[in-house]
Amino acid sequence: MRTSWLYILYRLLRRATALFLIVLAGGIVCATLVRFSPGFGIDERELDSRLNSASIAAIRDSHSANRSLLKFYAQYIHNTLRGQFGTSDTFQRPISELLRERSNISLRSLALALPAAWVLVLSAATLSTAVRNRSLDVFSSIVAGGLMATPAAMIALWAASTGRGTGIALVLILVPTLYRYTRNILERSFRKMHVMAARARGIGAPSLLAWHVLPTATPQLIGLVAVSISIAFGALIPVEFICDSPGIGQLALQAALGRDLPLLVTLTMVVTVVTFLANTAADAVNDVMTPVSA
Amino acid sequence: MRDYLRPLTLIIFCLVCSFSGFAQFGGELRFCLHAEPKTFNPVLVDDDASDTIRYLTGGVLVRLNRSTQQLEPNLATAWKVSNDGRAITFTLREGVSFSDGTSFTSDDVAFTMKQLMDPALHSSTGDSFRSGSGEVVTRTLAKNKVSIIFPAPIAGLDKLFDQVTIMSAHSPLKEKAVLGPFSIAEYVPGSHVILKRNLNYWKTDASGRRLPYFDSVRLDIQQNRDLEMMRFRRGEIHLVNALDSEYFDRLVSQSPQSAHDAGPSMDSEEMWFNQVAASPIPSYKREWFKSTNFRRAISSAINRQDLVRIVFNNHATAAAGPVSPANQFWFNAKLQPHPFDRAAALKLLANEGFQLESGVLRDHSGHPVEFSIVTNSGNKTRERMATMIQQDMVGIGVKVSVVTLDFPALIERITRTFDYDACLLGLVNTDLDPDSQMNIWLSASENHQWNPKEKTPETQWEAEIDKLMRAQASTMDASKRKQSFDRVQELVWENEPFIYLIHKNALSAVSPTLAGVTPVVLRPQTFWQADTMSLRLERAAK
Amino acid sequence: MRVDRKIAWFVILGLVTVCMCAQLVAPANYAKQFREAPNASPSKHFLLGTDDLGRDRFSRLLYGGRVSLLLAPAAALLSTCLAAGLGTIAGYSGGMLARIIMGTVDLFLSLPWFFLLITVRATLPLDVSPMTSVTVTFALLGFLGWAASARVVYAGVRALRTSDFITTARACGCLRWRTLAVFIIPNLKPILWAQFLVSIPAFILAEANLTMLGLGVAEPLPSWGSLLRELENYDNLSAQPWRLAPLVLLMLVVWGFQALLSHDEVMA
Repeated sequence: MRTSWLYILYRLLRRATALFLIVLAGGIVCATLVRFSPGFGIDERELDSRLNSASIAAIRDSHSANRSLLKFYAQYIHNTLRGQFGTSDTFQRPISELLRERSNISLRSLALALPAAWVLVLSAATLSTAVRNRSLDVFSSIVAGGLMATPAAMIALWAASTGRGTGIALVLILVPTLYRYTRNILERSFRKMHVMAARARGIGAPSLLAWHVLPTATPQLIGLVAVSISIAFGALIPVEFICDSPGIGQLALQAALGRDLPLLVTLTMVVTVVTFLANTAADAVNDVMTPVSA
Repeated sequence: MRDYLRPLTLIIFCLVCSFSGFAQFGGELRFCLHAEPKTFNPVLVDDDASDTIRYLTGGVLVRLNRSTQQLEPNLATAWKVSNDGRAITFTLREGVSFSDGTSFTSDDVAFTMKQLMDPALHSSTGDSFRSGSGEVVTRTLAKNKVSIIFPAPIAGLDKLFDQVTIMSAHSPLKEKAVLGPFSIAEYVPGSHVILKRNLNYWKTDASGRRLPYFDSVRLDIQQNRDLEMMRFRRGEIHLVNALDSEYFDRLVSQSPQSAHDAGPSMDSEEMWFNQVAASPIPSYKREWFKSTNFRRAISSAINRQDLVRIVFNNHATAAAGPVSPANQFWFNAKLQPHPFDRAAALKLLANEGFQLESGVLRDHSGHPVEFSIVTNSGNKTRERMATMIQQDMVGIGVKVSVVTLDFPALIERITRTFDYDACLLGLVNTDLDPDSQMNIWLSASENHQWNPKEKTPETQWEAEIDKLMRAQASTMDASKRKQSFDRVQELVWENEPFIYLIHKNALSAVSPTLAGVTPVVLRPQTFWQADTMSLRLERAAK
Repeated sequence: MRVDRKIAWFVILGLVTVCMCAQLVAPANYAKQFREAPNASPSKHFLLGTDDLGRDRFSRLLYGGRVSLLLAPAAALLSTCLAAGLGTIAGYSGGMLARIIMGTVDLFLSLPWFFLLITVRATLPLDVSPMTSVTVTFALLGFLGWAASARVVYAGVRALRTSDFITTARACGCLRWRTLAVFIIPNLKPILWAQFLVSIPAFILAEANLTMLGLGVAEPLPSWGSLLRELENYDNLSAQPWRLAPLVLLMLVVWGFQALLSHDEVMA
């Protein structure tokens, strides 16, 4: 393994460049999707019969600023490089302020939900793999299948009505998907030749798991961790909307319904950065743990 | 003997108080806003959430009593509208201060009107006063007398001031200095707004105590109606406005004293066909939609009673026209909702050359009659109504597709691209006066939904409606105005540019712990007497 | 054949058959409104009662199964194939190609695809049949839903790439495409099956969520996703447990696929 600082710096620079390009591309694609979607630049106030023609025309004009995509994006990049993300069309407030307020709430939910979900999933999957009991398998499949088949809205509604909050809802949404993948990854690792050899030598289940199965499964599990962050972010939207939790997810949905171009582009860039960093971390660990072929 | 008198008197007094629901000071009123308030500036208010806050914090010159629908003095003790309807003079209440102690004078009224009539400002409140080109002149005749002169007559001028919150001309706090019963104390975006009692509020109760009774109002931002109902049942909130019929029935079974049905609301649900000449729909379809007999036939084929019974659980009334029976003065009682009559519908269609062949209705050119109805997604009652109409149309051989669109996409279709056949939407009527509907009925207007911005009226009846609406707007004689607008309603009934379906009832939930609440149909349904509402005696003591 | 696998086959095939023969089995048309009996309880006329508009819930469940059991697996298959293809190419090639593909994955996971869905829906004529519009929706879900599983496939392929048998194959001069087709992809089957299994209920539920935004199945055509929306009326569930029928069926389908999956793992 090459450990020269220059090499590490080079790799970091390469990742940073990739991040920059992906975020830029994400912003352009998002802006294009939003700009050309039906209902862009439309204001609900246009249906207010108390407004006269001049007011309706003025309301329409106020939304015309973002019609030119290139102009909008150039201005947006220029502002972003100065640390300003502009003003939200829907909320009429600085986007940086909105993000600051809302991200605390979402991050708290995610900080609770992700570790809890992983602990549950790893415990259940490991137990299922180690014990190898058909009934346990069937039971865990039924529970996971039941949760997977239940709409996120219903889970969120149950969580909200019983006062359990968004974190628990996110856990219940994440667990069935992650369990299925994790169980298969562990099962696959369990069937590897060296594990079978270890079993044949009489090594017990705990040692087998700790020293043979989990290390083999780790690269894929780490990849799954990165995916779970994306899934959790995606689940934030219905959960926060149903639970009326004023986080990033609710903000994203309101921005989407209001075709709030600056806010949506900013949110997309934020999510892109988070996803990229999570996946980069997963890849980096994978690189370390996967032997380089000759 | 006298030793017993004082405590006995006190005991009797307390008993009387508790039995008579004697209002007590203290406590916090709690209910929900269904969206984030967009502004706290009263002249810019255009959304429900901001309007709620404006109502609770703002002082107005005159207040419409939501129960009697009559105008009452408020910050103005008297007012007079000139004979030509172009000017109004207010005599202001003396000794009134804003929440920060600044005195209330005619300067504040002048300042407010200047803000409201700013040409750069585009709000529904301001536009209600824009009767013609020219400046609005405000004359401060004395510290407690002000006259406002408009370039053209405005029908129902005095009632419009129910929406005009007076702002301070001199206070350093600007719009934060208020004349209403409460002032904004705290706002946490996405979470809640807290209003505190305005210690300088001018109103007192019968025994001379300064109102309001509540110390504060907490408005939680809650978009989810299911959660709102759960919180109401748990006692976490005191009021729910504009309840769905489904929730209402559940509440009636669980807590009947909390459920209130004030009767038909001011709102209506209606459907209209696209008659825009430049629309991209096929010309043969446009011909159908322009035909009055076609529209009458479709209307006759819709079973309004089923809509009332099934979609609204009988908490609605079949609609005859744009004005609800709740609008006591303006409702044309002679008009009845079009009855459900398939045979009559087919006869009307036959008059236009439509024929029913093997269960399919075809026009004179052989085109099968098919159209789509667009409505906004996420609104369950509208989706259900559209589905029921779809089934009703099967009875006369018409195939209907129901397309739900999110609101911006829907608005784009009905106001910009005109790429739709029929639309099902509701009209929210906040004003009693038909003048507020001017922009719907005038054929040259943006909101003339079925055919906006006509250069000249395309039909004789639209021309007549234009004439009648202008006539009612230019006279101050209430009976003449009523006559004109009654005729407008008749023309609409006959020609059905809008197929009016139902007026849903004003349903609300009010906690039995509250006193002084009289739910009504006019907005705000439940808290229109916020300054005289209180907690019942035993609750306030906690 | 194991008992649970037999039951799984029976359940899945049975459900598919019954749903495809809905016209023969269902007591009423899915659109027929029995307006004298809205929200009726189960009876001999209405096995699972009626919905808010008086439509027979059992009939709608059967007809809805056609949409969900055909289109959701098709969309899942599409997204799994895309994930398999792109994830395998990225994992095996490495280098710049892998970085570009994985960068695209990150982008796909971050973008608000809701706007593409509404744009595509807007290009369809308003009078398009409900079946066509829901097919388009599921197709789009399939095209857009590959990114998450591509990551997992990529990680799997990277692990396989350095395994002994792959090294041996390469040393023996095995062509790249042959290595992929004969050695890599078969060893990815459990991951791919897991993705397929997870995607089916995910797409059914996604369609239900999209219905709230006007992008799901149009009335009066039912789908299990749109029937699941009745469960949002949370309070009524204890009084009307028959509303849980679509959820129970969906759970059966998920369990059925899981049981099949477990068997394939044993066979491998």
